[in-house]
Amino acid sequence: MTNEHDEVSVLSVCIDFKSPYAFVAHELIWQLEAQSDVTVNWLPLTLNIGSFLGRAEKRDNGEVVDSNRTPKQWSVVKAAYREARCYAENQGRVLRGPLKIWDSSKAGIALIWAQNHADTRAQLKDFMTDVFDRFWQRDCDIEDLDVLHVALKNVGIQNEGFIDYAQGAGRASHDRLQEQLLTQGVFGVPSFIYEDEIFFGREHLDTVIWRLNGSQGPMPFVRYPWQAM
Amino acid sequence: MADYGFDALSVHVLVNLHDPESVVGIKAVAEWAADQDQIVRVWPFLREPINTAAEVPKGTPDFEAYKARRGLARRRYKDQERQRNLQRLSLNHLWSFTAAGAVLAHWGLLRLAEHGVSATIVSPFILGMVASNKVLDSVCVQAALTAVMPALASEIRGFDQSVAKAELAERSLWLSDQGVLSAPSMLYQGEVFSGMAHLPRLTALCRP
Repeated sequence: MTNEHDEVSVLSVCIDFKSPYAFVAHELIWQLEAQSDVTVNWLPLTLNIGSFLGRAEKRDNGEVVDSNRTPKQWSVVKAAYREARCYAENQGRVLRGPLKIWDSSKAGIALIWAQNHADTRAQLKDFMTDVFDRFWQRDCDIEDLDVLHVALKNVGIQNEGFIDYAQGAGRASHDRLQEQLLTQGVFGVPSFIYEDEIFFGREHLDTVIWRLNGSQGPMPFVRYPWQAM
Repeated sequence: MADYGFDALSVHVLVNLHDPESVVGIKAVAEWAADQDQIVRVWPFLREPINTAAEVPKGTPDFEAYKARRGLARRRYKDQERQRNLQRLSLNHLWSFTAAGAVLAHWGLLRLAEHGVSATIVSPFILGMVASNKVLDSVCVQAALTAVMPALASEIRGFDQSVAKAELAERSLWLSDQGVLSAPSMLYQGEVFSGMAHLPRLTALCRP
């Protein structure tokens, strides 16, 4: 797996800003990078949530105004948010359920841009944290390129040309990446890709670290980190 | 939660022995229980896995193509994860049950839990059973059950497969109504934890 500069990354991590699971995982992944020699290659995977959980739209007061979800799909969605909210709160983060299924592809394109234009890893981390945190507080319109343009600038990432990129080469790059990832077998976020092996979910972080360290000793059990790694 | 023996003080692990993820879960929770000095009981939960994608109304050809490709990727991933789980169990083969063996094994789990047998005892029993044979029929399951709890021999003599099957289905349905979506899951103080990956959080909750 390579980024736009054809640099080989050891560990690729697929995320989607609209995923609560990616939201509660991203800080842990940054911790992994800080504590190891790995440079994470962040890849946007824009999920079509309606294709596996149905679609729904709510008013501010939580009233459902449009939905094709079955009771079973609702129970899975509600359980997922209940669980993610619990882990987010444990990290001191606010997770408010979105009122619609967002098209997060522009934020994904902004992630590609940020990764290619950030002068430091800290800038990239700040950008991701800012977009994640504000989106989950219902304070960031990730479908608005102007909002993303400003978000890049706010953390010191050069943003000149971003809008054109997002509507041209960036869009093409994003769309191509979706095809590649799906073909490779990535279907959800966060997913970790290491030497063609895929790990889906932050519960595999220990196993990913185990693999990165040469698979010595028994393979760890899955676990959702509750305290800082 | 008093019904069906799910007392509030114990951690209850709900498993389906057909799936290596559940067996890995038993192994993990047994090690955890020993460390935590926490009562953990293992119960059967036999429901078809939820496939939410199958309930999505048909869409455009592109939408359907995406669904199909994503579904394929998901199935391929599950195979990969099954292999990793076998590695976690130090096994190089996937076991299967005969129909009678499966009912007896899950019925046996139920009886062991009702008798208050802890996960630390259930774990070596299950691991030994799945490691010993590729096909687990009622004869080998019965031998394993009576080895772990000789007193079960008399109950096994009265074992009726269709009655046991109905009992397992009824209990699993009841658990579904409590919000259990899949196996392995855990129940603690009425809260459902989907997947054994929640053990670190459970540690924090159980700590006095």
